[in-house]
Amino acid sequence: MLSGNLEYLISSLPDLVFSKAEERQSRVSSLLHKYAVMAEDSQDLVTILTAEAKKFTTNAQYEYLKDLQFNTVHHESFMNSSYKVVSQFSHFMYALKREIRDLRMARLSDKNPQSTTFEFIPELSADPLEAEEQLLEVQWHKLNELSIGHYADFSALLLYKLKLQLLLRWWGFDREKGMSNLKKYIKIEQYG
Amino acid sequence: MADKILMNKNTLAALKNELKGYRTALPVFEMKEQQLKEVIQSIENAVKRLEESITQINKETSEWVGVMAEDGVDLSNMTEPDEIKTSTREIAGVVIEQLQTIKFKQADIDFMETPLWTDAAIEVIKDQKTNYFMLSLEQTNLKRVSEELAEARRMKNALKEVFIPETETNIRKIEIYLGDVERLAIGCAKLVKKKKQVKNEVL
Repeated sequence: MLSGNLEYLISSLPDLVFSKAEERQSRVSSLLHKYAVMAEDSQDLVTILTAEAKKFTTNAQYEYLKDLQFNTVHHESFMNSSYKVVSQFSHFMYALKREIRDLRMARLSDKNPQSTTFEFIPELSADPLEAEEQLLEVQWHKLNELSIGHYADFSALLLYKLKLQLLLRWWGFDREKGMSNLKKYIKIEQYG
Repeated sequence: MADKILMNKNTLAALKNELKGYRTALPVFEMKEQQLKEVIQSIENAVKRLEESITQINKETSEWVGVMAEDGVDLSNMTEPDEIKTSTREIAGVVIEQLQTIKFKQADIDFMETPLWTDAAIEVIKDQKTNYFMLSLEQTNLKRVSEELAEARRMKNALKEVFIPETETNIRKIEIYLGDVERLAIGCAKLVKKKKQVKNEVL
């Protein structure tokens, strides 16, 4: 890892692209793991990123970066964030999740979800994996939109972490592990 | 049946009575065998249908099951059966258990905190749990009916191949023996009569 200010850190981070290609995944993983050689090898990518960021950020920034999580970014604490990009993304995620909630409630009550118009949700595939990918793409586009004008500041680092967590969530969709979890829930052995 | 039989009229009557009983029981066991075969066929069809349904759901789910690898989502509470009702009925002496209803716990799903795929996953888990439960019931039924069928077959074969032929043979043996004894008695009586006649003529 380059030493110096935040600009060096951000420019040395692997480029993140909205792709599930294994080549991309291993590139991001191997680059970030190279930074972690001095630390523990088993650390996950987000931990490596925040650990590296600690060297280039203030304590308050480091704590904030550590607390920022993609799966809780829609919570109120992030909506009122002093970092505009986080606040904007938090509001967006909250609105998106509300739309998804309305869609799910309509589906469960057998109402026609198409009759409700959504601002953020595209026409979703019936396949749950494809639908999740469609939603991730919407979120990715929003993060890209918010990235404009932030290239080497702390906001860029915050957005980078959110993008990385978004990609890790996507890359974590593993058929074998998923099937194993499904079997655990069904508890097939219970039925002999 | 291996015991030595008494060659008298009482035994003959008892054996004839036994044979009558065997001949009455044989069609009952033959009918039971037929009925159980039909029950087994219908259970095997149900098992086949359930296995096909499980395979089909697994095949369809495998296309998107990757989302279920996501950490931090626990569906256990949302997919636990709350109440299972079964009913029983008797077919050819065998108790058959069948699923009436299966109700799952009504868990409140937090639509804001759980991902979209959760709903589809919950449906699949509930469907597969129901299928597996029904399959286990049918497999138990199949085992019970098969055991009863084997018993009915054993009884039918024992009657057809052992009891009825052996009893028929014993009846025939006693009848021959009693016939011989009767003929011998008549012969003796005739001989005595003839001797008496000869003696009277001499005097």
